[in-house]
Amino acid sequence: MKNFKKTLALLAALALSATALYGCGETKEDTSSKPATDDTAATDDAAKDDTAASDDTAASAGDEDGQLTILCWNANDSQPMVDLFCEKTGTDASKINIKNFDVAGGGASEVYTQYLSDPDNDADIMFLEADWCLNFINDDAQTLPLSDIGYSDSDFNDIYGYVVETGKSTTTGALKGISWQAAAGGYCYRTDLAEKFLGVKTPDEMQEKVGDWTKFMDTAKALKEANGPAISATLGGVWQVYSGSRDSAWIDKDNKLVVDAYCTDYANFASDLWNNGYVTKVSQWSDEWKPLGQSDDVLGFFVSTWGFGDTILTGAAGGEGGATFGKWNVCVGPKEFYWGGTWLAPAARINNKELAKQFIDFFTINEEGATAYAEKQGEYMSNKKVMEAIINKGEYKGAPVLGGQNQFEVLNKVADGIDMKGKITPYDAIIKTEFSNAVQAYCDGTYSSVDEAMDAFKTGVASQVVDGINWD
Amino acid sequence: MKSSAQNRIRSISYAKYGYYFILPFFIVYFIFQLVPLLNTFRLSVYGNGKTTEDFVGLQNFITLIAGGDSLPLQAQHDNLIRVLGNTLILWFGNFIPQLALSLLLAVWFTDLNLKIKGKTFFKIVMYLPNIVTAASVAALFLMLFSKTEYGPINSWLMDMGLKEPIDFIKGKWQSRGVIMFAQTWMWFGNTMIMLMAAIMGISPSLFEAADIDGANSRQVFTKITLPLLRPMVIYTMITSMIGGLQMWDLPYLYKQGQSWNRATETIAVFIYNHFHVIPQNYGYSAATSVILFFITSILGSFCFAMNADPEAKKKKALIKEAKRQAKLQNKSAFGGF
Repeated sequence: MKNFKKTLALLAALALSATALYGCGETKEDTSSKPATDDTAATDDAAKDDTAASDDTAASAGDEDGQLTILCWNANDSQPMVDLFCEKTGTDASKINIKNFDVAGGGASEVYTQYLSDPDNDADIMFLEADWCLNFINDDAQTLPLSDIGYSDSDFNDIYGYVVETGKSTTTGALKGISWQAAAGGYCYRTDLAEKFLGVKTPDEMQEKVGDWTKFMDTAKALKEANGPAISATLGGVWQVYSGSRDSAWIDKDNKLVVDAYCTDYANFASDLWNNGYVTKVSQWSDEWKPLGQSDDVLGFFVSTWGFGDTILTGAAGGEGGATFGKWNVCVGPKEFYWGGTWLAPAARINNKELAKQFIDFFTINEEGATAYAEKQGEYMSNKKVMEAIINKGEYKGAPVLGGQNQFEVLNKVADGIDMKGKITPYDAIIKTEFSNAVQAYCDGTYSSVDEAMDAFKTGVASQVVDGINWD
Repeated sequence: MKSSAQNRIRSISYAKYGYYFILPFFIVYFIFQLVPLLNTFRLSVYGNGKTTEDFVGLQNFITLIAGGDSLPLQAQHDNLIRVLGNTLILWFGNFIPQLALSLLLAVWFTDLNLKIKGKTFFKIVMYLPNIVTAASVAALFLMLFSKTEYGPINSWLMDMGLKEPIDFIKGKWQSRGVIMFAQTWMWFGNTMIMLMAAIMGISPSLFEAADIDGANSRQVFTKITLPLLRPMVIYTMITSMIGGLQMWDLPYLYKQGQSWNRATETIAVFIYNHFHVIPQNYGYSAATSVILFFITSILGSFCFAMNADPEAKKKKALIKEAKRQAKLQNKSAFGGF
């Protein structure tokens, strides 16, 4: 009896320790298996569980059989992509291993770095988000130029220019990543309100009213004077577009942050919009943001390819059958812009170049594959030829929320018009965020002058980018 | 002559089973707490951004505490001072009302003469906010205090005659006020329960004696309750101070979208941002953690010193003095030289 009790207590303690260590099995096998092997039978079981749970990593670590390992932060894109790829090319699904870290997009860079710091961990293709893809693309220890896996630059002639441009390393200029998506966006507006206040009947007429920033401002003023709605839901939305209007890079040749007329212009522009009520005071992505689409307080939203569903526009219309569902149209807006997107880059430790190339091909330059994926997922592909073919075929009638307009026709124009040449720097994400925060604070009245806001902007960038920018 | 079996039994040490049982905790503690803890100290003397691998000595500390000539260095220093100030303001702003409120309620709930009905009900209701996670509280307050005319509080205020909606989310003192209020609301129940336990630990005979001697309730409070409560108040203060200096959840979550509210960024948020937001500045992050550690230790020991009973101190001094006298007398008793 005594022995039984003792064993029971020991088992309980070991089970406790095993559960405590269980969770860490998936990402850090070595730390969890160390203490587990110290002890007796009960933990051995737990250790076995651990290895079972982390099967995918264990399998990828050895990787002798030429498995293609794809690093991604969620399976929303990767899983359907792999499914379609295997189905169409007859590739055995077991040859592709999706290493899904299951974190928010912004956190992926951190977990990738952690994962790649172990040279035994396998990686062939990395999913990189627009905001931070340069962290990896500029790092030759982590990614390979696409030419190393058998591409030449002319292979991507059918891909929208900006997509190719964004995938280039800003240090060496080598093309290192390519996206299957083109996240071009346009200005979506309420047709009923536009007709009532502006007398606008077609998207082309609307485009006349908002074709550039001066017209945009004039229209906003006209709307307010007629006691009408705000022209854009949020200042954040306007910034998303305005940030694409910049003519020069944020960092100049001497590696200095450029604070020029563009910055002060935008600060004044934004404060005009804000203080005159041409935009609402609601923040982008806040709970009140989308419902604005059902009130009559707002004329339009800036929406990117991925935003026509529930993410933005359908949600704003109140869902299918909602108050304003079907009462929307899209036009190019004041300036062509893109919003996010995911780039595919071959990892430096790639050991399966052939399959990796086939995979990247399939979703970008392989017209058959890209068409199949666009039709399956309703995705706006980066391959211009494919998208134009789909538009001409006329089978796709556009997002239902638009009530009959095909947004692809507009987005095709937008994607063509985006020009990113030489304007990309590795710190763009930080710089843009800090700048728009400083301008927002200026609008809120936190800073009394534009100069003060610009100082705050510089300080904000400097406190995050501690090296890499010249401040003298 | 003992048999070998008897010898063996004697030599069995049951103590070792105790060690086996606590071993799992120590292993987990070692890997997940102690190693990262020591690593923080190591990282604090290494570089930032691209130079994370380089040993830089105390440079991070110098930059953070004294600033520097260039903008990035001065920005670190200014930021640290700012977040430190924010942290202290947010802590004071929730600790003082929290303590006052809990003390008042604890005294009322333990006062036998008041005969409050439904005490248990109130105690539970007041403790409840503490059970709700900070994430939910932040979401709730973000909804309630939404800064536009569509937010519940603002739309109510505007119905009452306010012209412009108040920016509760990004306004400097408005946002601080909301966070202080939320923190107070979350924690006063917890503090109240602890203070009540301490008050009920005071011998009832003292209160009875005061009653018989005709002391009024204010005298009872200032002469009996408060002095005897001191250890608990100090304990509350220390725990609240450590918690307050590390305040992260509400200030981090109480924001809309991507934009930061510089008026509510606490030191823990600052550490987190340097560590997790790209590009990662591990050096500054770790150095700030170490600075926070020293601030906490200094303030903590200050609180402990306050806790020391002045009576006990006097007694100690007296005993010491008596011993010294006795020694001297001993010396003189032997005639001296």
